[in-house]
Amino acid sequence: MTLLKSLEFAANARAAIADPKLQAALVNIRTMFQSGRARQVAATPEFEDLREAGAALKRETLANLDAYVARFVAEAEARGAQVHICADARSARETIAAICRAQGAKLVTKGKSMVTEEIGLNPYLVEQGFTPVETDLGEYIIQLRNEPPSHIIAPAVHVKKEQVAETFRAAHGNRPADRDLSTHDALLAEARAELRARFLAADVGITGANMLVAETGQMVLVTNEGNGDLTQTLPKCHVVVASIEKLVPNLDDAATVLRLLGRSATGQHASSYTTLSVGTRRPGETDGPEVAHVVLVDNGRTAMLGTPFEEMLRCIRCGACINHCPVFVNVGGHAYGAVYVGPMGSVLTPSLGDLDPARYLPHACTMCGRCAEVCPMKIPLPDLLRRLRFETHERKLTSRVSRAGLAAWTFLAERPRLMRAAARLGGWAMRLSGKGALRRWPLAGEWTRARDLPAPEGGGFVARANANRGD
Amino acid sequence: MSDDRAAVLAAIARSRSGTAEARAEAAARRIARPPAAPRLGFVAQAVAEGRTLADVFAEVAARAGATVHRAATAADVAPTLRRIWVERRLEGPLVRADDPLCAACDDLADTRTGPAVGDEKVGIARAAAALAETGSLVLVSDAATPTTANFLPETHVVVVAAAEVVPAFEDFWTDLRARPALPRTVNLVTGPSRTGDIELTLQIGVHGPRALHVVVFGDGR
Repeated sequence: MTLLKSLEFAANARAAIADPKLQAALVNIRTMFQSGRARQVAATPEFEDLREAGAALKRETLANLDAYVARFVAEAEARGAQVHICADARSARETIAAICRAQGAKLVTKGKSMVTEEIGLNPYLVEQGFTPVETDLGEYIIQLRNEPPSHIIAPAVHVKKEQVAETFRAAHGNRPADRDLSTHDALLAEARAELRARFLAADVGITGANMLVAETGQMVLVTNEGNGDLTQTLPKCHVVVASIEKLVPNLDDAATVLRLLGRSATGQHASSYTTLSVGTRRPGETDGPEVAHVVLVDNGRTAMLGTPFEEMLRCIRCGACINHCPVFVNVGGHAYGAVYVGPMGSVLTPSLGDLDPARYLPHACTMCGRCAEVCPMKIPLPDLLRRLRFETHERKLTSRVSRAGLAAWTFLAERPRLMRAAARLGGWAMRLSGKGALRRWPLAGEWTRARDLPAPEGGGFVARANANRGD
Repeated sequence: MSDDRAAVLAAIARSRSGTAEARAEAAARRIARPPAAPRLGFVAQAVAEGRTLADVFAEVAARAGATVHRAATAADVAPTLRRIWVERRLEGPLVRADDPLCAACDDLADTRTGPAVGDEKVGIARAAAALAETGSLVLVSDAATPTTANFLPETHVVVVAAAEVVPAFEDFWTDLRARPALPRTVNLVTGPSRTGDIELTLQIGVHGPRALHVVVFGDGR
């Protein structure tokens, strides 16, 4: 995983909350994505059944994954694609660069792809002498700004319109300096013109895939802009980059996932463009790629199989958990310091790599459970986050104070008499130190810095339970 | 070029239960006979209430931002296309499907068939099918209907027969599986090109067509 800056989560989060521009941008997540999904779910009585079917088909895929991968490879290769299976990020990057080199490529257009972010493809292509251009509008904006995406489906959600205008002025130097870029329309027209030229000139087009269909070898790509289609149709060579869990058994399964994806992601019953493609142009066809490659990426996923984190491999990257996370909608994506953000990111990032540099992410969670409620694949995200917290404790990645506190609590919890005595003593001390509320309390500095701790009133739980039993 | 195929497949196999042969057999069975998954009931319900699949398609497509025109018979397609051309003040260059149903505007503009090159203002396409559930047009690549013509023009006009509208994805998959060879590309097009990437504000026409017109013909409507 590239550029993991997750250890600064607490500082990043504080800065994000203090940033008025970012806070204004994040309001859009709540108003657009949350309400959009709610409307679609309300209008789809079959939604719960679809979630069940979606989770079941992904479980089946994972249970026989090697067989589905093998079938996909055979079907895709029969239709003119060359399939490469890459164990890690480095192998994937080198494979893709070698394909570009074999094409004599200079300009490489890219459709939006999280796995290419994960493997750090763009910086590597630049280093190897190629010019990768992101064509999804949001990805294009953040590529010009040299920033990572802050959301898996709305990568530039943190950028305000005025900042986009500044970015375009700096990047498109050949255009009149006094042009009007104050409206959404003007920005869109300029992006369209700039990117149209790149689409037509590109030597290689790289896209991700929302699904890979084992039955037919097809990849399924969902976009609203049409950029993925121009990227995969115009250049001589198309490269699909996808992680191995994108497999689905059959076209009917793809239909189930499609019914869940748009509704969960953007609140659309269907995205503008859903494309199924495989291999090279057929005899008689007059456009489409003449060379086609599929790069399947493992990069830590096979190591998740057979562990509790296998459930995370059902994820279809819709972003619903992110949009509904009370932590994400307050701090935004960059605070996580990782490619994948929000609840799915806080599970996937440590699962794919090392827990140590990602150790704070499982704690960036209030355990409210909304992510699991909205997940179309029924991934038990809070359970997985709790399990990761447990692992950080076991591996002594948490602070000494927190470990000592938990050890002390465990010691008491195993000794009921002592526990009751300690609770009585603690309650008495707290009542003495504050009238109704405590401004500060030892070992609870993080809590009391932002709010008061209510002082206990009346007897403890056990005392009350005993009293009630007497009634 | 590295290929870790054997190593990755072996890593998967290590964590899976049963034998590789048993898994291959289970997967082949599952691919051939998938369990019935839920389909959205509103299409069948509308049909039971006396509406046609073409009606449902037209309504859902309009909700997704397409402008739907009805032509009673195949002979009415040409005047409908010419009316759209005049009313929308369209201009060439025009790229169109190599299909007589799409030829009505040839005398109005610089017209070509074959793949689009990028300067086309209008594309007139012929759909293979349409999906009532999603309001999607199904555009299939072949010699007469190249894929680039669906994405490069600013205005996209698509002709589809009412009889070609099927309820949902699975019904078109049946047709796709019956073909002697899979086309390189199948585009399901639902409304015009759109983005929400600047401040999550919906905007139409980013890279693909800014407007989508659909002509549904042949059901006397």
